[in-house]
Amino acid sequence: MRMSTDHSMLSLRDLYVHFPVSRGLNPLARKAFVRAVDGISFSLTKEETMALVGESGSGKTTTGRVIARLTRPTGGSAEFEGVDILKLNGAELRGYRKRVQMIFQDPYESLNPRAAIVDQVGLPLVVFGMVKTSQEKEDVVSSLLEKVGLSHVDVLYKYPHQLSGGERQRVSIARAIATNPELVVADEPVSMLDVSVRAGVLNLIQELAATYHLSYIFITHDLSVAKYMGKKMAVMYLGKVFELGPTGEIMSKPIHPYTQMLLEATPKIGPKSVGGLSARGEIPSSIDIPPGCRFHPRCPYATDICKSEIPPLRNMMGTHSVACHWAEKFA
Amino acid sequence: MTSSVPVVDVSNLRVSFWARRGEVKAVDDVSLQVKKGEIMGLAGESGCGKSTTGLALMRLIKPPGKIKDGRIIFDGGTDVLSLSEEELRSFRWRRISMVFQGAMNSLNPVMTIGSQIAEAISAHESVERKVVEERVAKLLEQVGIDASRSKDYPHEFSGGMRQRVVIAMALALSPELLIADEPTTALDVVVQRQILDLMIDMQKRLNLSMMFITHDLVALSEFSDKISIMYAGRIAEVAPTSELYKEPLHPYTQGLLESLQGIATPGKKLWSIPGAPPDLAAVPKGCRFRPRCKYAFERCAVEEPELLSPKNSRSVACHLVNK
Repeated sequence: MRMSTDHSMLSLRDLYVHFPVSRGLNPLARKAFVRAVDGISFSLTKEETMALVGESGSGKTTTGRVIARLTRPTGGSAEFEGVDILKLNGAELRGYRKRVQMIFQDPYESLNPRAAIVDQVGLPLVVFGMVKTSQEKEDVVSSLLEKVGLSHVDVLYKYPHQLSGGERQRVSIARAIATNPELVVADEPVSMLDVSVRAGVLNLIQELAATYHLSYIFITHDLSVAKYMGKKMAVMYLGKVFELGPTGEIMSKPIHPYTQMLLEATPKIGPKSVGGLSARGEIPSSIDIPPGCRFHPRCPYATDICKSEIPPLRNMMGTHSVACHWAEKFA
Repeated sequence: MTSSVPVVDVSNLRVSFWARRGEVKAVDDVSLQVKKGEIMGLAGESGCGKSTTGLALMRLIKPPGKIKDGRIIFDGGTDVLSLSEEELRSFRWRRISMVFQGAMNSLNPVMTIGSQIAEAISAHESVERKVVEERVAKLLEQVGIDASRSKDYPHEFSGGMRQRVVIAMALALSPELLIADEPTTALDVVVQRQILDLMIDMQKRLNLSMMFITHDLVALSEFSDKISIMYAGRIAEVAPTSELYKEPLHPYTQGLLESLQGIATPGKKLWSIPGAPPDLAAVPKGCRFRPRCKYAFERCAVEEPELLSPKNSRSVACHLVNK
């Protein structure tokens, strides 16, 4: 079924997700859309981790949901190993779901409060016919729980409310890897966890990547977590990718003014140093996106062209791309 | 401008909540001080009792919770726990005020922000309407909101702007001590930076004393003078900020800082503290951090360590350090 010739496992091209919104009872009101994802392209090669970074409303979760086939895009294409995932149906879609799994942000919401852990982690195994008997299910789930650092004796027949936040997230991870997926979309998997447990879960996610030859789309608002997790990163703002490239390069020498601002705003250990690009304004609504470069109202370097023309994502050097009219100036 | 007089001096505070599973000791023998003009960071993970400590200082613990024991002395004279309801009315907001966690989402949606701030003023002081309006305008300007927006409703403001309104309300009666409970937690990085900068700026300009409650040890490192680390209802360690990061003494603090610093070096396995904090309805005997501590020895299982001072200006509750 392979049709594409490049080496990417996943490739998104010019993807759009617009949600219609109601603007009250007036039938004459202009029809409005939340432009959650507004034309993004990137690709991921096998066994690679890509961090999607951005503030709320940047479209990072929606992008992840499109990849997991949980949200339908309104335009563009998404290919997995050369196959258009948006056209999948029936058995093909089931096959895709087995290969691509998702870990959700909130371990308190994403587990069924009324099902024992053995049944939750075992559900995908049953759905995909990977186990035949309940004894077999128990065995497989036990070994999955061991792999995510939980003792199956303690956890197997417990309910989510009997587990701590960190344990619950480990259960969600066990459920996600149950089907031996190739790609896992992890949506802020540690943002609800306390520091002392967070590190353990991040370690686990990395270990699993090595053991299972997994690829990750790792969604986070936390630049320090993105830096730790991904070799590649995409900085998103209001539905667009502003900067894309090797994580180390972006973190040490951000080019896009927004990335610069984001890095400057991120707290670092030690007394605050002065300098850098100061925090200005707030992310506007994705219903009323500013014309031209959508960052221009907050950008200290904005000129006339920024107010009228949308800057395309341009390649700067190697695999580092930036969507800014003045990128050369900051490079 | 830090002087040595504590604006608030808490000793042996105990606060419990009675739940079905028994007595939950949310704050279990906490002593701390905030000195005049100082920013004291109270840091810890969820459920460690840091917010409850803040609420107890405001005398805002409601049933099934109760302040069981302890003393809270405000400004060298006022015994907060013995104030009557009547006396509390002139104490709260005027002398200590608080920015509550998530307060920006608790503004009254059908009242303009100007009248909400005005209400806070006129509930405590009998001043003319015109004077109140002037003060509202000045407060809004101080927190970086154009005074003309006082006639707008909360939904017309962004999250960061609503948080500024909440800060203006907390400062409306010129309190001496401001307790800020996770004031930037629900905000995006860039807005978080703006609110932090604003609060630090206000603290300096008004020479406020501040207790900054947060789980974010990285943010605290930037601006606090002193940090108290809480764990499972108790203070584990208190130290001047720079010394805490240079040389954490309590194994819990060491673990927290190691996992924070580790994240800055990709490719290295992160150090993480094994296990999870204990259930506060069934705290283990001895040191409550013992089950997760790699240095634990016999004494830790039997005797609860006291908060002692092995070095000047530092205190630690650990048998290993206080040997």
